[in-house]
Amino acid sequence: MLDSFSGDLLHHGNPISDSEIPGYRRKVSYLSQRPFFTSGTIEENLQLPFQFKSATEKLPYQPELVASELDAFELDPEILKRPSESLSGGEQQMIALIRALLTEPEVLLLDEPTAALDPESRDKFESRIHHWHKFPNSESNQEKGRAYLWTSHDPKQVDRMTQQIITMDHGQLVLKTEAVAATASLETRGPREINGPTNERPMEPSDD
Amino acid sequence: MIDSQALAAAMPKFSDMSLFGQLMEPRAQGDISLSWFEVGVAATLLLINAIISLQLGLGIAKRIATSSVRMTIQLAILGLVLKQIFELAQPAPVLGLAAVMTVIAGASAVKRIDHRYPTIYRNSIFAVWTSAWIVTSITVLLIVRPQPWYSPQIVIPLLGMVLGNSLTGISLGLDRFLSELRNRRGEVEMMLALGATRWESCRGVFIEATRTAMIPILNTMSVAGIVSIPGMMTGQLLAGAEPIDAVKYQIMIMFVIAAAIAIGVVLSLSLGYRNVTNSKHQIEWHRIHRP
Repeated sequence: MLDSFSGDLLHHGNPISDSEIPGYRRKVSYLSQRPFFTSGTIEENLQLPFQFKSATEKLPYQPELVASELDAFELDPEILKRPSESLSGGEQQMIALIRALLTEPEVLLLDEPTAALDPESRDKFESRIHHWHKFPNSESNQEKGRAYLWTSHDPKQVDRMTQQIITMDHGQLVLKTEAVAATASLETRGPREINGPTNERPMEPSDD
Repeated sequence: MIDSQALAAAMPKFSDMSLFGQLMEPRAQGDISLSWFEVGVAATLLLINAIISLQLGLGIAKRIATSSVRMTIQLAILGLVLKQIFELAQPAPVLGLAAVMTVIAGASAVKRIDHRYPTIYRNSIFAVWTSAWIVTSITVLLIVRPQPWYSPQIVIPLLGMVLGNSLTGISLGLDRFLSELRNRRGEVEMMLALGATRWESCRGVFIEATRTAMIPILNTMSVAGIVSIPGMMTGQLLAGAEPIDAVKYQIMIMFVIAAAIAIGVVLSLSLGYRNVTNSKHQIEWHRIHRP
């Protein structure tokens, strides 16, 4: 959602035209630190991405998939009928992740997703990401693979969640290492090389 | 129409003006002219307001005073020049005056908006101009059809009425659009992140702004004749027009005004939307600023 300072943005080796940008954002899905919802029920919020022009017929809204996602987070299916304003912080972040996962992204950009969560919710969130990364649920994704970029201030979480670490200081890359034991890392990177939005992170607005 | 000679005869002579005598004396039938003293009585009503405001510390006494003085001076000047304007016998000066009125309306629409973007003045003037001139042209050329077509007595007050309403709508709409866009930034960016186009992400805000802008005219239309007798009709009735004629005129003018507002609002919001977004489906937040 932000401009690149320089260079080209490539997706699978191809430049992205303006009209392809919404579709690209679906594939490289950004989850903000503080999740946002439209007014309405949780179900309406989960259906929202499927009402956009960038939605494809190949991937419709699947209620049974929603049910299994809710199950993975041990959330009551009744939550779907609740208004979005009624969610707790932990529930918000889980629903936001489910909403992103339903559109089957190739890459997840996670901006301190668990910063506001209690340890139990954080564990659920982390294990869902691990599972998502290891087991793509559609064939097209199996070929392309999946990756995530996770920013964190928590060295232990960095150890748990990553294979490759990028340490940044004031928006400048200072260190790139294979994850063995990260201690002082400020920013971390997901397991695979991401083709494209590598400069998305340092330019995120800091006011949210 | 008012016969000026009859009016002059009916008006009290300045020399024999006595305060109470004026209030008490019954008016001559058909006399609708006011003396400055009578205007003063109306002003006293506002003075009571100002005093209450001062007592309660509402802080609007000064505003009431400035607005009242401004309104009086503006209308007094209008009264002085209107006679000259109505005598204009060429289309060019009439259109010139109309253009000046339009630009002022477009600029004052922006004055009351809390957030701005760089080309907002241009956009507002363009929106007011297009909407008011299309609608006024249709009204003058197809509905009222005065001889000659540029008759200033018809064109200028009609355009003035349309402009005044259109500018209020544009002002309300743009104000709501820009402030709501900022308030709902998180929501708008969430939709963009999930693959919404710029239009899909802004549509909710756009619709809400349009609604807000249309509320005053919709309210006016829905209570017209029940709660209020609209201004133009009141004027015609006071001037002695047949009620049914005044009613037809008023209905016509309501439709015309509502159309002008709708066109002006949608146009200004579309321009605003295009100016704060770009073809890469980004919202250019840095362009929205406070004046």
